Amino acid sequence: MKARESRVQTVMHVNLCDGGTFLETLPEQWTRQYIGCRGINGRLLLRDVKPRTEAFGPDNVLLFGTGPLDGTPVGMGRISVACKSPRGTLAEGSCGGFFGPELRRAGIDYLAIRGVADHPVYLFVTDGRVEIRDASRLWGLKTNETDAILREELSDPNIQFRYIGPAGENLVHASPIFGNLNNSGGRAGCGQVMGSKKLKAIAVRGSQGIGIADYDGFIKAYKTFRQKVDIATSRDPWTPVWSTYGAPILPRLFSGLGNLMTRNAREMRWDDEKTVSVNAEIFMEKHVTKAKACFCCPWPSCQKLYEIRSGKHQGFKGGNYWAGQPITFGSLIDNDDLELILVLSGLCNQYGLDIFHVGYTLAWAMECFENGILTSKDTDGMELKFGCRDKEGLVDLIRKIALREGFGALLALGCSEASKIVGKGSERFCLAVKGQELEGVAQRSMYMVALGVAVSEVGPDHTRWYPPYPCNPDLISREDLDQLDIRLDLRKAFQGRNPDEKGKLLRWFTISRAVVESLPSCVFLIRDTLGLDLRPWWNLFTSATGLNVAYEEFVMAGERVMNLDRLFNVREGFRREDDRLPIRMMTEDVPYFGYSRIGPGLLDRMLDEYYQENGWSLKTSIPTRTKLNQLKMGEIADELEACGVEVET
Amino acid sequence: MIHLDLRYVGHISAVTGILKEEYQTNASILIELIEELERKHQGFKGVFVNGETGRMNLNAMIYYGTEGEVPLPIIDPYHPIQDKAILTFW
Repeated sequence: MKARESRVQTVMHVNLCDGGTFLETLPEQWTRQYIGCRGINGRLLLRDVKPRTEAFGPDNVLLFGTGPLDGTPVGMGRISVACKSPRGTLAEGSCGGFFGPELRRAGIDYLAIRGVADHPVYLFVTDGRVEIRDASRLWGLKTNETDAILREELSDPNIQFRYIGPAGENLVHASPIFGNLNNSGGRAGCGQVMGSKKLKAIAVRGSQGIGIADYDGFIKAYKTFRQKVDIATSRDPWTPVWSTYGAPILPRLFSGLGNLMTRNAREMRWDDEKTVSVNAEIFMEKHVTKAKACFCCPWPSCQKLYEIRSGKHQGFKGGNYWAGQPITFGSLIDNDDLELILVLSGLCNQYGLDIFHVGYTLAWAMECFENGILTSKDTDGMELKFGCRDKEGLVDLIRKIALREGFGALLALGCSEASKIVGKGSERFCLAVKGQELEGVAQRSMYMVALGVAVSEVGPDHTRWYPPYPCNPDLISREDLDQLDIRLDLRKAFQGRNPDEKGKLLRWFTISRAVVESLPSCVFLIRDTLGLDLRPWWNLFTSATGLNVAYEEFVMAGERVMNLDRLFNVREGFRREDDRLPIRMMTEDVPYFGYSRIGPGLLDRMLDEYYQENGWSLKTSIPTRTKLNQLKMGEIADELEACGVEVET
Repeated sequence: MIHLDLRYVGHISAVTGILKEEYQTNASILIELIEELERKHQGFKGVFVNGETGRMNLNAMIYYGTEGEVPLPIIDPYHPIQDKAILTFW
């Protein structure tokens, strides 16, 4: 079997207008500078998508990126999907599964898709080749139907897919791209852009090997990595519980800490009995049929397949019940009916919708309804109240959002755009930043999270800084931190509501997570000391690629990647004033635990520290020329100035 | 005798067989409580306490809080236990 080198990466360009394809070999220097996956996707976007490109036009480029560790046991099958978002920002998100390794096995590290097809198509990618095939019969089908038909037609159980559902076809806000039925990525609108290109799916099958330059060195590095994430040896409290129960254990813990988004985050603590009823333990006992993991993941139970075994929805099958599902379709809308949560989130996967968009927009609508801003005349007759008495109405509303029918057409816009249309003060119930809905991690009790949500270029995205705390301070010595040039006070970092050092902390988290997502690997596996001491990741990268890269240069690559994100948004006109929080977080206190609002003064203080630490302008948030020169990105500063952006020295 | 609200999350509930319990005890420090719970739920202590060193395991966590107070993780086996405390084991 032919094995590909990992030090040099390739891009397969596909133009859906004329069917043209060509394979580009990227300079080895790009692997040194941006590592791969999210990093190289960011660099390609800045190079190939011109300023002010129409998101739904033929010149927007939709990227699927792997990286040097994809196809190894560290890559976890992760890919990065990226394009310009319909909201004008960068759209980038990562996703697990099996697609990434298969794409690399086909001799391709990146797919760059431009143009708009004149009819629905799908791509069939095999060793170094791309075939554009008709997908008219698939258009309008749900993701599970598309998966089943393509799998039968192509008659190969090892083919991997990415596809969109009807929501992506209908350009519904925040639609992601799906694969393996329930894995999704790119909630910043990558599925919408895929739909605008009339691209229904991508199928990939390869036969090549994955090259490891220094096999013995890689195995040694893998053993060190594995020790930190394995249930038998990890020194991290999350490892046992996540390995066996997964993320749905979080609502109970969150509620006890005042971190659970409840009734549209008016409250942050849900009734104890309700939290128990939707938590992991009951879910595992009643509905799970099979544990499931991404490619080579050491945590066998992170994902799960489920089937509802009784009641009105008996027989309904789905997968992946993490923390987001019980929060968005549970506490956020005050619904403690676990079966209803499973149906709503499962239907989102089938229709190709983003659960956070739907959950937060439903919660926004419920609060509008309870305040008389929306009435049953607006909601197709639904009594849209917290507590969800009209369960079947909610089930049907998922379909109507995906198909933009009736009241669903308003919700399909997302709460930010919908509140602009509805007006009447409804924007104060809208929990979104840069037009994108929040996720499941609280802000008013964790200031670093608040800062991370405010500054994220793609809109709220926890993978930019997850996990939101460093390791147990007892696991790493001050001497080690000094040697790694990490100037953080770890004990202060654990003080969630102390604004000191939160800018510095977020900067390190953003850089280190950019490294991990560019290799790629999964940020949920940043356990033990892996979020502070990047040397295990560095050893894996250098042994896989054979590149002689110094540790400092490796970490600097992460800093380049986070700067690429900012530069893309800067070029599209985003500035400091766009780094904000939802009105509720800035004006309302949290009852019970006494968490106060994050006023503008407090946010500005943290923003100043973050920009200062990053070497960005305090006034505009644009990276300075000094910083870009230091990162060897001076040519990008030139390009920005040519576009009329004022780059400070 | 003090009254405690004990909560068991994830794999800990597999050891106890229950998700939570109202508990009465004369224990005044964490390690005494854990030893009592070991007698009730066999295997409980081994999850939280290293048998060789007597120190708390780093791969398990206990939150300690009281009504209306934000719970905090405790890592000291001699941490005092007070009436009406809420302890979450995970």
